[in-house]
Amino acid sequence: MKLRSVFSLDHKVIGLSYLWLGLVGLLAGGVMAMLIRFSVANPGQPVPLLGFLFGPSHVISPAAYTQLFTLHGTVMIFFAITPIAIGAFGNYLIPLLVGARDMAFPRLNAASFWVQAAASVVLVVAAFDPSGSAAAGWTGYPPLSTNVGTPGLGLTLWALALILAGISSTLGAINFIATTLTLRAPGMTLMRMPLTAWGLFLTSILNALFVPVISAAMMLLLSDRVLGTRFFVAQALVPGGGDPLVYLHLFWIFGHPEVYILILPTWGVVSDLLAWYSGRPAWGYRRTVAALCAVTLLSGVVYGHHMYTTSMSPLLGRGFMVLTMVISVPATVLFLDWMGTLWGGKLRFEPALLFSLGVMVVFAAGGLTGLYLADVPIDLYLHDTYFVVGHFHLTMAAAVVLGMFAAVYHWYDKMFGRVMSRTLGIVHFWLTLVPLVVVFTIMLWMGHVGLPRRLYDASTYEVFRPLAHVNRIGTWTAYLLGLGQLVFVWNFVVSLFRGARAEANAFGFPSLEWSTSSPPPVENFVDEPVVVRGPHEQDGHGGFLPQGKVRP
Amino acid sequence: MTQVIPLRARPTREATTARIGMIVFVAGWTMMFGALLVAYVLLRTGQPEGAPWPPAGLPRVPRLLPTVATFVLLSSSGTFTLALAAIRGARPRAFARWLWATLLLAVVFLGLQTTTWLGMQHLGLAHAASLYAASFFGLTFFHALHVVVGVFGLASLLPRSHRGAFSAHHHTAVRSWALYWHFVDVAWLAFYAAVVLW
Repeated sequence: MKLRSVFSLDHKVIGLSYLWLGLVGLLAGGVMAMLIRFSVANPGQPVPLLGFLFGPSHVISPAAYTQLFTLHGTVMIFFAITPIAIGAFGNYLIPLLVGARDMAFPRLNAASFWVQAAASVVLVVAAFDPSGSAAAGWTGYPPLSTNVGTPGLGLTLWALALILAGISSTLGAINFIATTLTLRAPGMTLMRMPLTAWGLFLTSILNALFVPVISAAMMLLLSDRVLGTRFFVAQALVPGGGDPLVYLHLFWIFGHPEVYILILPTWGVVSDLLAWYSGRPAWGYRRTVAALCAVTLLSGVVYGHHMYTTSMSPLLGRGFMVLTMVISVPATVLFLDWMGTLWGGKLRFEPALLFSLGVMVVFAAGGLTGLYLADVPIDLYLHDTYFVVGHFHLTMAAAVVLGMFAAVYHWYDKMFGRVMSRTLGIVHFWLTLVPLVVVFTIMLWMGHVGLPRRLYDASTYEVFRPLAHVNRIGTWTAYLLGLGQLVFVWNFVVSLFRGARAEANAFGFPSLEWSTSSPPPVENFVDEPVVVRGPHEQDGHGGFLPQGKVRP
Repeated sequence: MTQVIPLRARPTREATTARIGMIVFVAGWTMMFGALLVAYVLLRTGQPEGAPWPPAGLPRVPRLLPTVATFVLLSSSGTFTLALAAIRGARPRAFARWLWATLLLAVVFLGLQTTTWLGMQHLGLAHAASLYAASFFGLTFFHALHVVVGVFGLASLLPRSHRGAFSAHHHTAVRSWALYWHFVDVAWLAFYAAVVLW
């Protein structure tokens, strides 16, 4: 690969760089998940194959277990899902979907990628720091995350990596918003944009506004760790100290919008793919856009539901409870729109559609369990149990990752000019969906029994000993899930070299990126496209009409 | 020589794009400053009932110098607005003059802040010693960093203006830095109210 293409300013090259970075992160986070599951089922046993990572004994100690789940969460959220869903697909697709030649600020875009790459390097250094990696959970709550709880360079670098990743996200968001608002092709009104572009646009708004809040929290945490201030050390412990709860506020002011930052691109992608693969217009396009916007607005005012157990005023808790439950209204509208799109459609069961349907399954389960956690009295019981873990894995992990797989299968032709194996894609789908649902349902079940999350060895408590076999089933299912991903890796890599050459638009998709070659040329379109219709309009013979008039 | 300028020239797409980019950036940074302010308010209101602020035995943050500094910074926003008006009126020499005035005021502001910090150390308010001192140092220093960035950004406009890079219609960089500078100014007002006046 030439140096010029490594330091390219082309949004497609930057998007693909993000994709590779994110896939490496996903692989690393996935391996950590396997190690966590191994330890859950066999605490204190030597680890096969990867045991060398844990010193001469090859055993995952309680401390190493804590570091593992901390790193697993951090990597998956900030270094896998974010670069894939937003970095890769945002960069690659937004200009193509709206008919622009490139991003609004190409240099800023390249900077955003390189800052994210730097953040990844810092996190790797932090993970292997001899004084101990970060070990305060991905949420990094003080006092555990202060020097008192976790001394050493690991957590300091972890906070630095999050600040860098945040800067990268903010730069990207500035670019996405400016591109969407000003660089749309003639005729591409906002209400003619594919819903994928809507999802990415709304995500960018949340990213621009709320990521700086976690940066502020991390700066205060760094100040406590490096400069010796005591913002997050309790007053009761140290005279002149502050309050750990302040960190929780800042973290969740960011943290709740963050889950929508991650899911909105998936919602957009699924809304489009269900239409395109069922040969039907997206049912209630305007209503879907309104629902996405409503979720975006509401996501900023519900963060308190993460803090019900922090002796919050019951009145405030009730307010957050109601606001949280209100989110299920636009979410249900969205879901009904998806069902309406599918109704009476002629479904083409390509991997992209299967994964989109998979998103509907896990998102329904994840959304419904969210209602339990939104409810103050039930949350007081379920708080800090595996129920929470199961819930956010179904929504944030399963739904988002399935959505990203759908997007990869759908746009792979366009991105690499090659075709992936359909059969392997379908095998990958079943090997992903079934184990995902089983393993996370087991988590819900164990949480309902009362098993605390982040517990090293459940058999410490006699009451949980009968659960040992369930834990083992969960672990074996997780291994199956891990093996299934190898099918994807194989399909992805081999198709790059051996896949059939992709046509410009083999399936007659209507959106603008399919009116240019696969992969698109440097400035995307030979002439500036002129858009004449919305993204799902039909030709009356079961096909779609192209959105734009483009010289082929 | 006079130049006829239409009152409301339609901005170019590049100008609009840059404008939106800068607005989004400032919106994000407002959230960051806002988060720090929220943290300060929560820490302050979370102190035990009836505990004095500043805590017993600690001197109060001086009010005089920060108040003077506030007026200096506000004036710099004013001078930069005049600079922007000058470039809109195609008067590059007046632009340079007002820009120099803005830079001077910004440097005076930084000097006053430094004097305040040194004076506080002299009074025994070491930065990490207590929440009281740490929050004052933290917020004012974080803000001052943004003033420094602004000084470099504004200064970078001088050679460009000298080369004739800006015209009455095309001065996107000036407008972007103006937005940034006003943001830094307003952020200071909020911090001033929180850590000096309250």
